[in-house]
Amino acid sequence: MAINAETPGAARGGIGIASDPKPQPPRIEGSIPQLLTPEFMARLDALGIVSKKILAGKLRGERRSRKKGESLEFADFRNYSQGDDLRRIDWNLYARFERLFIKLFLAEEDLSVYVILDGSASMNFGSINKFDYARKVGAALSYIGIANLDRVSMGVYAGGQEHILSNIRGKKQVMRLFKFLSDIRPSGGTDLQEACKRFILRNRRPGICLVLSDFLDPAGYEGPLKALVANRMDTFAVHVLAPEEVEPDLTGDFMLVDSETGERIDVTASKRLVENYKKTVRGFCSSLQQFCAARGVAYLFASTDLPFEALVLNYLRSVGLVR
Amino acid sequence: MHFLEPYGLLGLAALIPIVALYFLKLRREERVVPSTLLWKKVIEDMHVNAPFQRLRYSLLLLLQLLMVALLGFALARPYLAMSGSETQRIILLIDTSASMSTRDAGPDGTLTRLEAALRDAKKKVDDLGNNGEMRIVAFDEEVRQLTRFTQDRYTLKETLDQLKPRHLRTHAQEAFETCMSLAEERENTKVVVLSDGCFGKLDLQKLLGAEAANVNTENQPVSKFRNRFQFVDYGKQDTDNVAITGMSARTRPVSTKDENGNRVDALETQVFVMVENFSAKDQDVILSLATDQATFTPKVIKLKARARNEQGVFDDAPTGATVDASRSNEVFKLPLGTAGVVTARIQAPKDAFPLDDEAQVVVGSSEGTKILFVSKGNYFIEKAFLAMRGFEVMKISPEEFEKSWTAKGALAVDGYDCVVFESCAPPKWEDGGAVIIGAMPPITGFKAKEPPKLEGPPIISWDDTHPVMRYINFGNVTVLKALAWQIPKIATSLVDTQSGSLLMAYENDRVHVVGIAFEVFDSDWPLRRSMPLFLKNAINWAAEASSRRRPVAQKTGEPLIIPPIADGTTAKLTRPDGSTEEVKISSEQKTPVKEINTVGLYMVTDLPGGKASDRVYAVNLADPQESDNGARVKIKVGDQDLEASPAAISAKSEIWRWLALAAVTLLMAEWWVYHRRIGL
Repeated sequence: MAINAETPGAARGGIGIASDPKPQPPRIEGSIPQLLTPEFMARLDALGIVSKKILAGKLRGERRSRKKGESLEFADFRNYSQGDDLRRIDWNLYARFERLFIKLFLAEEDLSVYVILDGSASMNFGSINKFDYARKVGAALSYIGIANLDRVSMGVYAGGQEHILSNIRGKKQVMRLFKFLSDIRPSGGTDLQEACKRFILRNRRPGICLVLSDFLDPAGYEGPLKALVANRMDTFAVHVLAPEEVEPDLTGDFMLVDSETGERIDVTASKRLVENYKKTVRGFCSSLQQFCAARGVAYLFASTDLPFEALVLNYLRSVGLVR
Repeated sequence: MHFLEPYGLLGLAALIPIVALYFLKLRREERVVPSTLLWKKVIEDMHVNAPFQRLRYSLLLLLQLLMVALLGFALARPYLAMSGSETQRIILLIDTSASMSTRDAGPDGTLTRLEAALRDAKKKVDDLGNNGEMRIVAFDEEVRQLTRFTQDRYTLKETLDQLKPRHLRTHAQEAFETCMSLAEERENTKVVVLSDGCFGKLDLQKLLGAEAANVNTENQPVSKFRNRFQFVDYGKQDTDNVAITGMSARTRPVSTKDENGNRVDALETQVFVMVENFSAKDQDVILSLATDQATFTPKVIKLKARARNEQGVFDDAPTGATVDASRSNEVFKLPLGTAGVVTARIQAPKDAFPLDDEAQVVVGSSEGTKILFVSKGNYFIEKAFLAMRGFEVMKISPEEFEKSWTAKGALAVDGYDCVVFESCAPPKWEDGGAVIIGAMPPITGFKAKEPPKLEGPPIISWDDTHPVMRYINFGNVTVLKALAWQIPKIATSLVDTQSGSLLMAYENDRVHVVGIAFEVFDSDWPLRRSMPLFLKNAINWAAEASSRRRPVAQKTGEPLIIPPIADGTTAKLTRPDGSTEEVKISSEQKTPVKEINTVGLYMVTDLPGGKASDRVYAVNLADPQESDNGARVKIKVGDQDLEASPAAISAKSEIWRWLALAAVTLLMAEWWVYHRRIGL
């Protein structure tokens, strides 16, 4: 399967913008795996990513900026100074006060949407693969972003390698996005700290940062999330776990092998042990949630048995990430 | 609780590898998980990394440890100490005599005394301490030392397993003497006597040997004996028994009439059966007699009781309970022509000792008497033979006889009931009947006197009570000259002269010989009527010793005697239990077959001559001492009594079986739990 690099709109000489009354989903053909179905993408077109903060953009976009710019939305007046564009003088005010005032409008800039996807070996697990699930969610959100002329950057960290897709914007980039995601195979250990550190260094502009991970990092998840918040990222933590992790069906004596480190531990899976494990998982999720809440990070638990379409269309909307 | 094998506790060391294996868990199923991060946290939270915390939750391990601990304890053979001796060296003296076959022992009286004794003996072997040694000695008619002192329980038990009852009488004195000497070899040796005590009083003097001198003045040797021996009795004291204690048969010539009414001489067999009552109550005994061909009408015999004490039944004159009143000698006359095995059987009452309820005797042929006449020729004697009915005479010359004897030995006269030698004698005579005229009988004890000839010896007297001299008047016989011989003491002089015996009769259990010291032609005897009568009497009497005709019955323990066979051969001996063995039979001398330990019929077959020459031997117990089988509670040793101490045999009660059983139960529980995978 392949996805046509260009949307029909783009083929006609422009990328799909919010003002486009009927945005068309990209056509899927060729050898690029289909991450999102055309019908689903069509539904995504109606959505947009919402930032709780007004963040400065880089380019003109569809987001209100703190800057004064050239949008249609009035912001303020200021005294005329030499060199100002005469076309912005409010002549009505001049008539009343006999002083020259310049009309200021809010600037509309683009929004930086960052997606950090955990590509460690621990994500390659579950009857519904966690990595597949996460990359579909990432793809969907990225699609929403690029469809709204937001600037989307994506970083996938797998096996110590950094896979970066920077600053894609506009629907015609969607094929790049899909190909990028399809080419990645999860491997290696989880190192969120390193991944976030590199990602922040590369993307200093504040934006919405979506972290898709199981957060099973021996070094802990606190540092990376703090770093993101400290860099004024409007952070969303999507905690992806497989049902087998949450409700393991184990009875008897096992040697558990860590998929990332190969570490082996002997476990006699008694009822009590399994119950304790479930409690620990719930505790782990709960502590992550509390940590996120304390630092203004939106937390979303995503079990892979929840259809990802429902997650994107319903749950992400409920936490206010999209609308 | 004590342990017979304390080293068995080393088996508990098996707990260590089990725990180690538990930790190693070699057979865990591998399961890949995204991360062990949370699992480790869980394990840390539960403190299951701590070894003893792990153990606490493993029911399987607990069951396994318990099972191994039980087996370890079982290996150490724990026992509960009961009252008993701690002697380290034990001689088990086991009675295997006939009376031990009485089936009245055990808790419900269903075991024979020997079976009960062997069962206790095995317990005793099990109870043997770590440093203990045991030796097994069996006794009946002979003493058999079956093992040395050994700690090897397997050998001891195997020996006990192979110990079978033997239908022999008891000679206890020798057994006790043997064990006494064995026990004196080392201190701390005890003799445990497993017996019913059915043997006579022991001679303390012989038992104690040199120390016996002090018996009367000091009790020390006696107490030494009492300390050495421990008597465990088996059977019931009040066992009732009615027994055949003797059976024999005798063949005698009688006159009868044939089918045509003619008078003929024939042989009649009488069977004598001794029946005794060894119980303390009167018994009505039904005694039957049967041959291979016929069964005779049973006799009902009333036998009085005999008084009983701890030494068995005995005479008690005041109440009339005497030995004579309690036994009866029954006589059966068999029909003429009866031959083969005659069986006497007590049909009622039935008792716990069947060995003596039946006895057998083999009655020989009662056909006409076959005579071999070895002579150069004697008109008068031959004429006398012709006058005798029922005699079949074969005449040969002394030279021919000598040749035949040289060639065949005693077999030269095999098949004849009586051999009449005139003016000659065989080199030896060990079996059968013979009449030797005018020659020195070849019998030990006969000596020629000096001078060797008697000239006209005057006859003083003759013994007309002897069967040979029946109807004989020797007063009108004049002898011109005769041999001067000195007869052995056991021989009977039939006609005496001043210078010695002129006619004699010699008999033992296998030989009947009539000797005449003069030639018939050296006397006027051929002219007298007494000579043919004498010859007839002498031949009939001598023929009683004929092996063809002699009733055969012997007691257990006596060897079977098989007469020599020309060129020797190998015959098959079939014992009463059906087992067979090859017997090599000598051509020169009699072949004794030993180990005749079982009551019943012994058959010697495959002899030259076919089925007609098969030999049957009847072997009976016929021993009042064994039949008087009421168990004794004391052994009489001189004036002392050695009381039975039945409880002492099981001094230690081992409990390893229960531990092993519990271990097996735990094993099953562990298996069940393993498959259920519950509560791990």
